[in-house]
Amino acid sequence: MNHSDAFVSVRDLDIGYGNRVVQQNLNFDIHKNDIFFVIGGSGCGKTTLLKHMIGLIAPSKGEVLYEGVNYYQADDETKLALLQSWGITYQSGALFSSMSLAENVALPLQLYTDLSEQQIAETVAYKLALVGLAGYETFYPSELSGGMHKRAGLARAIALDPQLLFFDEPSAGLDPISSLRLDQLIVQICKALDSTVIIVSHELPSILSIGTNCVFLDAQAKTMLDSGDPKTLLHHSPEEKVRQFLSRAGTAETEGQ
Amino acid sequence: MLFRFEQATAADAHDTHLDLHLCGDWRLGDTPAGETLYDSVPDTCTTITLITRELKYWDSSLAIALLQLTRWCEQQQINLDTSAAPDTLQQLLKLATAIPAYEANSGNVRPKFFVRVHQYATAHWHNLARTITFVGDVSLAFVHWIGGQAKTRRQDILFFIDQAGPRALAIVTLIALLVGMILAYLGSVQLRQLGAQIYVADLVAIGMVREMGALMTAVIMAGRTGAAYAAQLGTMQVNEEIDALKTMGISTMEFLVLPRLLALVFIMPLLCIYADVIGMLGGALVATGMDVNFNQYILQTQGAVDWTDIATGLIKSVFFGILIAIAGCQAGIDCGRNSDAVGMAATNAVVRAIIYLVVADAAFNILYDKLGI
Repeated sequence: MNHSDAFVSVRDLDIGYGNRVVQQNLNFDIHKNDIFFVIGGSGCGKTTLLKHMIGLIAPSKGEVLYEGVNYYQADDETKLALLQSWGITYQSGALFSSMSLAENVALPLQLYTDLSEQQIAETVAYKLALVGLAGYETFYPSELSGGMHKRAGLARAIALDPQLLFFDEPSAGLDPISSLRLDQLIVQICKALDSTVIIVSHELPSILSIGTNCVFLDAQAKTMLDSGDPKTLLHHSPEEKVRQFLSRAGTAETEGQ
Repeated sequence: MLFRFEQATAADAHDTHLDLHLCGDWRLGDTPAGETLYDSVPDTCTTITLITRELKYWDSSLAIALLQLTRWCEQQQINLDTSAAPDTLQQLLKLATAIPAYEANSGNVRPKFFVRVHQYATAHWHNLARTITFVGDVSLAFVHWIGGQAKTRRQDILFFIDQAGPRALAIVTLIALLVGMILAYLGSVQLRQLGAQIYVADLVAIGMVREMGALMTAVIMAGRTGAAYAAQLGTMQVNEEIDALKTMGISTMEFLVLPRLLALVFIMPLLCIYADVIGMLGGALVATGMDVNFNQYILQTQGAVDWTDIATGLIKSVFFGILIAIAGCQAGIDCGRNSDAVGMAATNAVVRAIIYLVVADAAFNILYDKLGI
């Protein structure tokens, strides 16, 4: 593991939809085993950045490199290999509603591994147990609560032991306790799987407690204002906006320490 | 071998303490099943200690196997010592056993025959009751609208008229033209034997105006517009938009169902007349190919159809419009809350609409026959 080399690097990236540019000139590095946060106010383009990083929208300018490989310029085989090394959880879980939880988690295993039915069933039971949903195999997404959706989504995302985990607003809509548990779960799973995590969020407690690196996007400036360890940025960022955001305009200063 | 058991101490004659040595690469797909780990453990064993000095690579497969071993050890009351395992592995095991498994209800027992019949019958009865309630609600909303009190927006009605009317012209043209031609071919085979080809015009005209114009347009609209209504309203149900309307005090009947229904009621007779004309043109195309003069065909058609025939077709088409809208909107409003349910709603809308249409058409024909029109 070489910590000096970037695991994911974003270079001169412009993001947006069609002609509408949301953010320009993004430059930052994500290191192996980072818990990296994309932060910023509502509507600044956090989720859009994520969509550019996970291969859903091709950027108009600049590139995202995964250990030196540009997803959008790679051939189909490399693309598939990259996709398989990622685990992505979406804002509301994005579980397939016509499949039970077991089938949801089993899908990537059935498509991309040659495990036997028995092995798949065991793996599914294990992944569901990891996220605290043991015994829920036969349940359908419509029978579960919002928090369970997110955890089941996480179980599906880690089905193939991914190198890189993406989360879009993991704790949005969860109560503080559940959100704290999910944070801990993310940290533990990431450590155990030796993976790197990229989280889109504006939950200050999560950012300051588990984040090791972050980038701050600003809607007005249409670019990133700062990047680095959120705990350092809280007090030492040259940008006042970043310090204000991380300290909730000053009120959370003591909590953050 | 990825694992082996060894006696912890040589002096231990009864194998009470065992060391489980894990070695090599544990990769998902080429690892032994969990049972094989504990198959060879003797009954006398009380403690198993995990030794991972020779373990090189491991992924989920090792955690899965150890989890099964843990469960087995609990059942056999054997003490499993994992303290020598890598920290991350211990953490994973702790995480996976932190929350006890949810105990599902004791399986789904298939109910007895008569119970199933009863369930089936009540389900259908509830369906029928819901449809009747729905029709009642729509009627009330319509009365409100007539009284000018309904929260129905005019721009919605116009939007749905545009969706259902002008945008459906192409497919109605194609189908009506072909149906007219089919009718003409069908008749000409019989009529030619009598040397009465000219009566093809009568057959096509009466057939289109009284029957096929209204029915074929309705079938097209059931597939095109009825299914779209079900999908639109179903997606709104999934997105909680219908809940939002209800809590704003806006009647879904007045705001969502009525504009769609009114649009179809307005557009169906127009499409029907259009289909009638195109169908007769299709008939003329075929007939002129069979030594019938075009002018003659037109004259014959004029003589064949009177205003009563046209009215019978138009009355049908208005009713068909109502039936399609009711089938589509009810399927959408009753839709479940996931993407699967939206597909079911669209299917339901089309199937129900076609059943309604054919039943209503038969009823109309019996009625017309009794009335002598």
